[in-house]
Amino acid sequence: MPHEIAEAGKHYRTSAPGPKSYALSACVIAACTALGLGMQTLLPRFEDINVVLILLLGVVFVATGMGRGPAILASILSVLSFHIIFIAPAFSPLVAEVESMITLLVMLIVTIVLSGLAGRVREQAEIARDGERRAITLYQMSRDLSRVRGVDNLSQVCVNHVSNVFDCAVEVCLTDASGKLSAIARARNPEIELDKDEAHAAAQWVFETRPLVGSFNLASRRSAALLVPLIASRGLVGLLSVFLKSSSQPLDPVQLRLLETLASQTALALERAQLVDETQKANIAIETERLRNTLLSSISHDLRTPLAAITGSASSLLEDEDLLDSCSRRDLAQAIFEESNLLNRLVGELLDMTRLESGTVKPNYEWQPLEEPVGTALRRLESALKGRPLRIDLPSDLPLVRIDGALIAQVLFNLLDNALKYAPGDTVVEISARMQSKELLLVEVSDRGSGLPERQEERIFDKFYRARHAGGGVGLGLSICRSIIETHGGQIWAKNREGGGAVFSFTLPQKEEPPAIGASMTVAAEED
Amino acid sequence: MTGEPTPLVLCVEDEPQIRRFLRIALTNNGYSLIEAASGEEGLAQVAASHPHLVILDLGLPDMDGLEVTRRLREWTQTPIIILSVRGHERDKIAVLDAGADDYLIKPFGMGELLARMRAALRRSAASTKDEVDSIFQMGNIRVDMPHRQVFVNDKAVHLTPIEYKLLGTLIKHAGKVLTHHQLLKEVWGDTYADESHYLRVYMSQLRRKLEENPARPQHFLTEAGVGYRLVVGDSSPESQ
Repeated sequence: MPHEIAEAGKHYRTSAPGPKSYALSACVIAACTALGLGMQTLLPRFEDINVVLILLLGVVFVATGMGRGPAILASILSVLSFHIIFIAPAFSPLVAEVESMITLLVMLIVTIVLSGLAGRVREQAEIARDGERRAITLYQMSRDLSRVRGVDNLSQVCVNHVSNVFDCAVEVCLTDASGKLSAIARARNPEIELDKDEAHAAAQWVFETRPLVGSFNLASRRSAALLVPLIASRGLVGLLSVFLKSSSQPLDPVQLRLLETLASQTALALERAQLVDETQKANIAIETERLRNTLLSSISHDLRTPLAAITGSASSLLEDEDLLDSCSRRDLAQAIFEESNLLNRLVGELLDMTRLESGTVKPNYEWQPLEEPVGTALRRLESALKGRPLRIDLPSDLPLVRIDGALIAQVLFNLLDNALKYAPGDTVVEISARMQSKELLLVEVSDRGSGLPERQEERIFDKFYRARHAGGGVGLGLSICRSIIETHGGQIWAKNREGGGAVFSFTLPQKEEPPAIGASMTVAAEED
Repeated sequence: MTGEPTPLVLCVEDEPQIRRFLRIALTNNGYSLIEAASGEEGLAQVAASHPHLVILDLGLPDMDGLEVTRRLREWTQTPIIILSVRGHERDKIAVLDAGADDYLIKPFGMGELLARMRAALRRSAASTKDEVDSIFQMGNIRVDMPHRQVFVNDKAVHLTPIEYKLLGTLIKHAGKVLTHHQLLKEVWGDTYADESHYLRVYMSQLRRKLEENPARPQHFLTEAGVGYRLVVGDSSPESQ
């Protein structure tokens, strides 16, 4: 497609008929003369007037096809050839007769009128074609602009198109927060050497002094620069700098108009992108505010409840020391221990969520068998799993997967912990995994509990959502899972099972082939 | 601990509340305790009193616990158990690679700390004796060290030389968390210290041969993102 554009760009420069056209017109007349001679030899009664018509046909052909200059040449040549070859084969004094003078004159008038008419037709066709090319150029750029997002990509589309159409170097500068212009996108041209500092200084100067005028030229030592302000509905967005080759001619008004149209399209697209950015930022701010409020109310409730139990138990142990028998003392100590564990978990969840949200968690991807995170999660749940039927279905040919083991263990821990909490104590909890395709690992944790509340399959992954109070957790467990899985590029979802219970599934895309275990490792270890 | 002199434990911790409950719990469990509230003080105490074990907090006011560990390991092999609120794998790996024996994340239960302390003291005693038991038993797994034979439920199991070497290394450090780096270095040598997937593959094979349920191992435990720990007897379920 860039090829098409470059092709269109070339045609913006019109050309005068070259020596080739003159040579061609001479050839046409020669051919007509030959044709006339041939006809006369073949048909003895072929009259001179018919020869004149053949020659006139040649002149008309040249006039319509090659422009005025070659047409005049053709008419002179045809008159000469008619008189020399057909009227006066004996080489009598040239153009002596008045008759021939008149023939020449008529021929010339016909030529000039015809070539003028033909020229205008050609010009109009050229203009129409120019218009079409301009429309195509504009269409192509606006199509590409609508396909990309973000200020950077839009600017890049603009410079690519402009540099292709006008065969020049281009730079788009946008205003930053401090009002300074900074280059966002650039297209180089091997034939144009840019003095970047000079170009920037010029752009900044134009921007500060005359921001709202149309494009204007800037004489530079190496190239002719053209600075076009990018103006949209809210005012100046940035500046488009076009650096033409020093050898090429300045742009004509038609080209200039095209450039300005491209610039204003870009400006509109950029403004739209900026507006989208601003809206998004505003939405994020609102969402953050909402979360902060939920967080505060959740902290005040969920963190204070265990704290109240701890404070109460501890103070009772202190103050009623003599009244309590050993059994009650043990109960109180047990309560303190359990509630502080709960408190610790709540704080942990809040911290994990904050870290995942803020993007400070950098996953440490390593190749490993899935049974490692599964084992870690099961180990952490050992006391809760006591006496619970558990089915683990990990195919023995499961390849190594590239994951952050600690984070995936956390996901499995949260899912299993949920399953244990929501399903009755004697029902089986299952973990299974398989390669759904060569590049997608599917892991499922399922239970035979009461299942998910209807139409809440999506909402349960929201922050602070709780199906019903089951104790422990601020309702962050599943949203932590979602954050971790999304960081891994996978998806997580939940469904009710046939026959009761819920199944939580997540996928982990595996883009690379697992590494092979090289023979050198075996040798190295077995040497000693 | 009857019959043996009470082990001397140095606790390097700047929080008085933590020192207080450690003092009460440890002295009641038959340990003698000395305390230090800063890294410098801790280093001086180790040199002066030669404790059998050091409990070290990572977040000390004057220097990082990691630095304390490094300086101690320059001259002594006294077991070091780290206490920290920093739960990230990176922090664990750094301090374990520096030579710490174990790592506990605050808050922790006293039972857990006592179990880790016992394991560390046992290892330290075994290494000073400088001889390994000829028969190593854990659960239904029996390893006949002199004959290099391994039995599960009294049935002989064939291990490849690497698997055996890996098992031997884990047994030598039973109870201790070994980072991927440490295991690779000891089994395969320095060149392969960063190829952790080799280790994981062999570990997985070892589990399949020796564990009843390799996805729910009882002995060859994964410390996610850090390394492995061989648990012999009193396995502690609340381990992080």
